[in-house]
Amino acid sequence: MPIIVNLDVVMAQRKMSLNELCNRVGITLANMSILKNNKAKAIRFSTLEQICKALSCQPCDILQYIEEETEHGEEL
Amino acid sequence: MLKISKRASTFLSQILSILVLVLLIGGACTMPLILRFFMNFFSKPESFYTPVLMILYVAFVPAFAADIALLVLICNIKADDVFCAKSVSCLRLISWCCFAEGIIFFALGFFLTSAFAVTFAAFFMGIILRVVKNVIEQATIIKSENDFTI
Repeated sequence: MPIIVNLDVVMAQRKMSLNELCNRVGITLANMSILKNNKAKAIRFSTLEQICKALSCQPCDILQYIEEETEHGEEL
Repeated sequence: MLKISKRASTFLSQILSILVLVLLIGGACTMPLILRFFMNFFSKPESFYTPVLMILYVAFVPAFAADIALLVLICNIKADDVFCAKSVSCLRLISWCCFAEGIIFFALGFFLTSAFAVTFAAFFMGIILRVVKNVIEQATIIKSENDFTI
């Protein structure tokens, strides 16, 4: 996935645990783990807003774009 | 029009698939007798018997594979896990089995001309299932995106 979520970096800088962030943002630990481990396919603006509010940061602090060269083929 | 519940519909599909599997097993065991009766009834030359029997036994392989894939698909439906990679694989396998049957019955057509009709039907079914596979594949992608939208 070309978009990397650097949530753990910002959480470490703010000295905030995952549980605390979940409580502040209002999403489950399972969903936060999906986001943190780069398994998420999309994020709602409302969720991004809550995360930025909780971590006092900008979206660019937690989202990073890395260009991907390989294209995945489909099984016949 | 008669209406049944979703659960009953899935159960009916499962029963029919198991019935087809039983018929396939029965057919495989009694094929020499059935073919002998058929050859005598339609006065086909004796030289046709062995090649036709061999082709029919080869035809059983994709038929069994397709039916088992159908049963796996029905199990996925019962488990409410339809839009997954496993279902897409099952549909892909069934479509390729239909194409294989088309080729096998094309070969059989040189002995029994009516088999060409089965060839066409098998290829047509294979194409339909490929399109259905593509639809389920897209639905799987959409579901995955929805599930992983935080």
